[in-house]
Amino acid sequence: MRVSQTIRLLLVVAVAYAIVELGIPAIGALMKPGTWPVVPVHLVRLYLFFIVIVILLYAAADEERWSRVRGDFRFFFGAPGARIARTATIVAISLAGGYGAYDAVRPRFETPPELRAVHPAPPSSFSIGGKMYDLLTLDNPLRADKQNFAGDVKAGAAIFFKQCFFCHGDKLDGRGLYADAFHPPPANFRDIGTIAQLQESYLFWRIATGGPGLPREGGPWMSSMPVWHRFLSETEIWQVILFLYDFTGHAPRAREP
Amino acid sequence: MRRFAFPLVFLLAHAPAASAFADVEAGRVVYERWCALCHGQKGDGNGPAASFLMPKPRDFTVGVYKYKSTEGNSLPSDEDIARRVAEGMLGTAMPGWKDVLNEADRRQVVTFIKKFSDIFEFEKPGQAISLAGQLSGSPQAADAGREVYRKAKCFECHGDTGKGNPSKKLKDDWGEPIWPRNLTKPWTFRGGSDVKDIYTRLTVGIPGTPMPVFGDSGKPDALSADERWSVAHYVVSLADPARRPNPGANVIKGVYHTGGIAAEPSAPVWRDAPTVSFRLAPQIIAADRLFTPVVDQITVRALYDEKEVALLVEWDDPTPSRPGDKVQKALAPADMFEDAVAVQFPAALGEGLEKPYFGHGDATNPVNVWYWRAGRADAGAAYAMFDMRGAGTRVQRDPVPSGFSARGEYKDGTWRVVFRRARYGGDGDVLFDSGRLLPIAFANWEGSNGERGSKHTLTRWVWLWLEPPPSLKTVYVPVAVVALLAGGLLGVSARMRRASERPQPEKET
Ligand code: HEC
Ligand code: HEC
Ligand code: HEC
Repeated sequence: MRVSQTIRLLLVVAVAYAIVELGIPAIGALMKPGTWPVVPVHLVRLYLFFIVIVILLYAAADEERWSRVRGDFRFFFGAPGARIARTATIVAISLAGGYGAYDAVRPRFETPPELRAVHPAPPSSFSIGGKMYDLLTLDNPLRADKQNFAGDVKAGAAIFFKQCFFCHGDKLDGRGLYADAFHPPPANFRDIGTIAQLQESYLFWRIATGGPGLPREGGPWMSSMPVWHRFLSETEIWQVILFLYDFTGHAPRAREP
Repeated sequence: MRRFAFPLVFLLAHAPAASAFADVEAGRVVYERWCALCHGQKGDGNGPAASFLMPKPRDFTVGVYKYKSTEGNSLPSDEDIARRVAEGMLGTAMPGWKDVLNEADRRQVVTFIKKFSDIFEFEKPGQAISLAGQLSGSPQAADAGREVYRKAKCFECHGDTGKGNPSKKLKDDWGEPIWPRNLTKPWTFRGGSDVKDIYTRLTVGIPGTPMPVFGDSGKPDALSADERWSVAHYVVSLADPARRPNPGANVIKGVYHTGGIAAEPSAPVWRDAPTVSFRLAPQIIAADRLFTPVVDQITVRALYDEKEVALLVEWDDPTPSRPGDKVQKALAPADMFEDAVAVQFPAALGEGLEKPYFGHGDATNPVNVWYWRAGRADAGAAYAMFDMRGAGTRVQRDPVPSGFSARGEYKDGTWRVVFRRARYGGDGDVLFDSGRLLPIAFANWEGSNGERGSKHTLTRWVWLWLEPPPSLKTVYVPVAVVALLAGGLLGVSARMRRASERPQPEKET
């Protein structure tokens, strides 16, 4: 049996809708397991609007196709035999429309997505207490000192477990004792998306100046990351950086030549 | 049969493994990487983290384990220790290690930590207590349990309502102050919140802590197994899961209310407003910091009418702290200050998504703060409103133009504070429009924990949303749409039916 032209077009709309509603999040879930990035409602509506327009244009572009569609409509609305199906469809469409209208006018809120650049571009230099740090040339001075390396890492570990583990977690996984009280969540250093992508100078800047040191796009007003130059010396910051890399097994990103 | 099952398990677990030595060495490697920074290189609980934690990491050299399932005061089984290593202890710094250590690693590290104390060489773990005879969780069991709760004097430590407000000062075996568990929050139970776990705790106690052993039939205050099961069911029934903070819930929904906003924290109208709870974290961000908080969450509701808006802020606090109160002073582990709470709003809404810095605003973006404190025992509570541009920059604001006031009440382990004010005050004031998301944050001071000034707990920025009052629009718009759609479609179909009854003209268009 040939499926009627109209039903086929409606099916195409349904499939396109399913791709937007389920397919896109599924692709996201494949790329980043454990997530399900839904498409925002207003985007879904927009996509659906365009899909319907395209389908209508397609249907109208061909004379014969168009008359088949019109035939389908005439049959559905006019044929005496289709009475029950017709009444049911009209009731369903009207109620769905009524619900849609209620949903649109009922009081509701949609919390704004708190978008922030996780790794905003750093300044080329910054200063603390009168001392200038040039981020283009800054290097971890302790890394070259092979003799004291183990001792520095150990000192860094002690600093981490006095100052940082509350938020960044005993396992360095960003799930410390108080992590879920803060938003954005503390960084997960084991993840390949954080320190593994960054230069040590970038970490130095982030640790020394904390959340309030971020540029606007980083959302400085919401980050709970403390301003560590108020608590730690320069050497201590370099030590804790050595520890972060040593413990996670990541290597800092090399400076671009 | 059951009687023989336990010794059998026991034998299997303790079959001298040929690899015992290898296990210890492998365990040492695991320990030094993952555990030593808290529990100490020597296992004495004195790692670098120790002085920042409460409870402190366990000292393994004395061989005391709190969460065990073996009889009397016998040693814990390896399974007991391994279970805590795998699952961790909620509400403490001790995380579950399942995700980074496999079963072999966990067994090895348990073998290793036992070596810190020679007691395991001289004594053997006892038999696991029997969990047979569990009563079903019927309301009757819980009712009988309520009676046992009274008889066994659980309330002396856990309070009448289970919220953990004790009538005596408690210390653990290491001399550290300790608070009884809040029994209404099973998500903070360290040894598991299943009725079997609770029964086990009641039967063998929590070694090292004042929590008594109720299963020692030699003692005069012992409880029978039936009594222990029924009080365990009663504890389960005390749970208040609606107050469990959900990190995803970040909106306080304020409800429109006619007939006047109540200033009384206990007024029944508050039941009409939905609750939402937020985690409190200690202020570990700027000097002077607080590392060992006691109060860990706060619950909020909001009501409003044409003129006013009001918030009910609740938190469980083991002690109502007001300097000058001798009874409370005797319970406080350190200097006692007054309990207090604060609510913070952006003083002006910035461009786009930008907000003031969540720690008291910043130079360009000030915050407006509502503050209530319990006051001295002889003077009573007080409230104030101020503006801040960063920590330590309070500027008092006259509360009169906005009709601001606050009233608090302590009952059965919970503080309830109502803040209210006019929705629209004077110039440059926060505006409480309905239907708009307003950033809001909270801070709390537990005075008996030495909290004062910058030593307090706090939440992140969340939202207050005053739900617009119900309007006719939500009725007539949908009705009109239904009428239009149905009318239109029926009209079309009537026309087409008439057309199809007419003979079709053979005509090209
Ligand atoms: C109060 C909680 C808290 C504490 C304590 C804390 N951090 Fe953070 N940290 C955060 C949060 C939240 C973020 C993510 C937001 C941001 O980037 O500012 C972060 C981000 C970072 C980043 C940036 C990572 C990236 O991928 O951009 C580094 C590096 C860092 N923290 C290091 C440290 C070190 C080192 C310490 C201890 C000396 C520490 N933090 C202590 C909360 C904390
Ligand atoms: C961030 C700090 C921290 C780290 C890291 C840590 N612990 Fe703990 N641990 C604690 C604290 C705090 C307690 C005490 C909780 C209490 O007394 O209620 C504890 C308690 C324990 C207990 C006692 C359980 C009981 O029943 O009494 C064991 C066993 C234990 N830890 C094993 C380990 C092992 C094994 C590791 C490493 C894989 C480890 N811990 C890593 C903080 C830590
Ligand atoms: C002398 C004081 C005292 C009495 C009496 C007492 N408890 Fe406790 N209880 C404590 C303390 C202290 C803790 C917390 C121990 C810790 O933090 O390690 C506790 C913890 C608990 C826990 C939590 C276990 C966990 O896994 O976290 C439960 C449940 C409990 N008690 C129930 C009871 C019941 C039921 C009674 C009466 C039959 C009772 N307690 C009597 C002091 C007491």
